[in-house]
Amino acid sequence: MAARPNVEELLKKLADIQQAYSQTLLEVHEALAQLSVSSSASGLPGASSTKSAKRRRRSTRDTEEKPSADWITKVERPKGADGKSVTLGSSVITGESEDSDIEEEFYVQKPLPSYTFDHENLRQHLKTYEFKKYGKILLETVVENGRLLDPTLFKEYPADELWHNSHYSVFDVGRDGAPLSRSQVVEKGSKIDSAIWQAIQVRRDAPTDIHWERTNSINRM
Amino acid sequence: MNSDPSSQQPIVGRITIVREPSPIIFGALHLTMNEHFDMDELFECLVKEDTSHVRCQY
Repeated sequence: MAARPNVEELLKKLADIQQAYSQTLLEVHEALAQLSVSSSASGLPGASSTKSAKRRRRSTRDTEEKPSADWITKVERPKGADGKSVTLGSSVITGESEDSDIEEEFYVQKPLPSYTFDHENLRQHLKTYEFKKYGKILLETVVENGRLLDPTLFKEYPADELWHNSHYSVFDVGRDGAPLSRSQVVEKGSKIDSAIWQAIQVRRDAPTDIHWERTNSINRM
Repeated sequence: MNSDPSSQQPIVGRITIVREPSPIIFGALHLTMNEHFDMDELFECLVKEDTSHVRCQY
């Protein structure tokens, strides 16, 4: 193989593999159709075939090559005695069940409500919220009787207190269930507390806030 | 796949992992997450458990 195979070659290779796969799949379909042909009328390549083609294409999520959808519609699908399509073949072969049409329902689809908090919101919350007993314990070095003990919210720790520099990770999760780190909204070189705050202070349904946040945090400096 | 933030909209979830946060971060998390979680109860669990060392001396 060449050191850097060009894209066209790779695509052609992919197309060849797909062609071979399609051919074999077609044969399997025909074999299965033969099996059930005695007990059922030869089906129309109608709605069910189109549907499975769509499913097949989505399941691969690969190139938008047209043949990937077309070849399967050519396959005549046998129908069961009740008129329902006999889908065992495609289910087994593609590793998908009939229910895979609701694939996206496996993941949460409802967008989270947006919020944006700034330093003033945080100050107000610390001052006005009626923290319960244990909250007061946690925050005893920050707020006392509705009064902030330190005007600086996110202070820098002295060198002998670097154990504060602990770990954090914040991700936003998209509709496909994949988490995307919010690390890019955090100003480079931020101290740990400020960095965590930058990561959590905004939540929007559209993550176009990244630019907005950057400018905003620069303005605050 | 996840390199482009615009492919991720809309956001349907958020994962927040914070280890040994400082007090101010406890306060910030209370502000941002109280809508979804009973943060007062979470704080209670963190402080009350005998095994927890959340209550450090700052």
